[in-house]
Amino acid sequence: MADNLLEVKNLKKYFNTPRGPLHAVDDITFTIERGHTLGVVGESGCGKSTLGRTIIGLLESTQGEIRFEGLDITHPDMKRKKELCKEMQMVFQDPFSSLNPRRCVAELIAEPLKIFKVYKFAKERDERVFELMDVVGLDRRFATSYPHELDGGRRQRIGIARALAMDPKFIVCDEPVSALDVSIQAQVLNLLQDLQDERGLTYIIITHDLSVVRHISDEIMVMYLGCMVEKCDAKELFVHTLHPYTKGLLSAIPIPTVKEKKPPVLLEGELTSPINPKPVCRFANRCKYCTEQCLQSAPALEEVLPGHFVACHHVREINGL
Amino acid sequence: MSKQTKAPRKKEKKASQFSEVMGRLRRNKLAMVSLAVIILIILAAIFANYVAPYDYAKQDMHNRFLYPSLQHLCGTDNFGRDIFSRIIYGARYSLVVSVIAVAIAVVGGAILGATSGYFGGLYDTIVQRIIDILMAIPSFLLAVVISASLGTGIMSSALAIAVGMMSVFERIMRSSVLQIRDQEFIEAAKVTGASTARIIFHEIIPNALSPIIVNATLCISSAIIAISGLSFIGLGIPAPTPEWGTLLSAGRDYIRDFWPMVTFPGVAIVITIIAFNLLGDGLRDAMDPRLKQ
Repeated sequence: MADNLLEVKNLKKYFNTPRGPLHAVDDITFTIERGHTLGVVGESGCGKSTLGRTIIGLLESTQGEIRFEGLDITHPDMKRKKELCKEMQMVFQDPFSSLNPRRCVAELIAEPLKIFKVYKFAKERDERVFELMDVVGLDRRFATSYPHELDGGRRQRIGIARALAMDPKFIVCDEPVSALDVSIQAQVLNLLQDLQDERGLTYIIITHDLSVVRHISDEIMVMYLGCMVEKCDAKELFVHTLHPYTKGLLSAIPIPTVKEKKPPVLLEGELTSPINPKPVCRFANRCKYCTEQCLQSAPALEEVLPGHFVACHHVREINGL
Repeated sequence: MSKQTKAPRKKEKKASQFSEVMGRLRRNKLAMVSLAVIILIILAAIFANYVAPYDYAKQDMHNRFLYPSLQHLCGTDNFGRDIFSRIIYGARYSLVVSVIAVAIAVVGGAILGATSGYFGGLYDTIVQRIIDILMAIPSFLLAVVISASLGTGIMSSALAIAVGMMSVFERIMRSSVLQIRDQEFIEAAKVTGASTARIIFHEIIPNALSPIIVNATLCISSAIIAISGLSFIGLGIPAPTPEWGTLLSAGRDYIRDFWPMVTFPGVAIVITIIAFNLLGDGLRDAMDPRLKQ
């Protein structure tokens, strides 16, 4: 049996709105092996950030189960929650607002160490802070700088250093590079990857940028309106794209060449409302393969190819399997 | 350490935010003069027994109603007491009471505002409605009622003034907290394992503090007026104590015949208030450089 660090079973997170429950995350099940990376992709508003926040415990799940190292952490009490903070950490999307503007870099990185009172003496703690700055590639001369004096990449490095301070096993990266310049994106992604190799970290990388997940993930999960529509090996997804939504998503990646031209798969129509959705295929109104069946029942996730799960009624016909 | 930085920066990096604010404040001449005046008044109040030329309570019936001279800088009052000495001793009471009042108002208002902004919900609603009620009553009237029921004295006057002032600080704090609460670094703190108290006191309040500090400086002057007003109508600090309002009130009877008794305490109040107001304005500009440019 594989060594699963995180298991998520039928996780649901609904928000109560005046017009009814908003299904942000609807019935999602997956596992992540220790040391692996799961990429979660989908367009804005598909619930991928909510998924990350629910797993990390910032949001309370509506239903379902989250297991971390085999233990149920769906509804932890205060003490357990604090303990979990040592094991699970998060890297935030916006390095401009995720750092307290009144703290200097060293204080920001030392914060988790102070909360858990790891070191008795300030000197030891400073030592550790410098060590962490080295690990994430932040020059020590920035220790007394304030976040607003640094660029986005360096700020994100502070965020990563903070996340690493307690030596967690698992990190949720919520759009870790989407606020950064392309050149810095690569640096930060490489840093995340190096850290994974060194420390055996497990990641969930949440992003809307497919080239990012392709670069870093072992497995990719595609979300659409709170549901998982496709999940498989990262390489497999780009070779055998099965779900019509994923096809549209993939063809939106710009190809850096002028010679090769592929007819783009364009998606039409708007997202259906995530508030109280009908039990049908949520992608139906934008799908060119849509039939009666799609408008009557929601497709279940099935293993179409080994290790390749797709939720679509017509996946076999579309792809000629 | 800052000199080793190679990257070109517009300005030299300062050691802390405090020194940065002080640096900007230093360029504001009016604020610096006010600060000097305030420090002078505070020093005079602390070392009153060395600064004041006479005992504030010593009566000299032969020298009543003396006009200002070199012996008596501000003249003498109806009991022959030196007005200048009385004003200097009075600074003690006026400043102490107003500082205590503002301190109570700031601490109470900040805690109430921060918690009600952070938690929201029913607690927020209840606190806000209570503050609404407090705000509906004119603050001086409120102070009169409270000090009438608590009796005279330093603490009760301070408390009476603080209650009326607290609502302002509560509202300021709450609105800043509402802005800060939803920023990502609060979530980041939660993920780090910070307790709610730590989030409120370490993450939120330091970021919401600058408008509070500015307002506190401005409020000290209104507290001075309020305590003078209370003493003037006999509810603040009782008569023999040379509080500024008490001095004014004592001079009221002689306002037509002997001007120094009301004028000099009044001038003392005005100078102190203007100094605090200008310092407050300067602080606001220094803490939020965007306002000035």
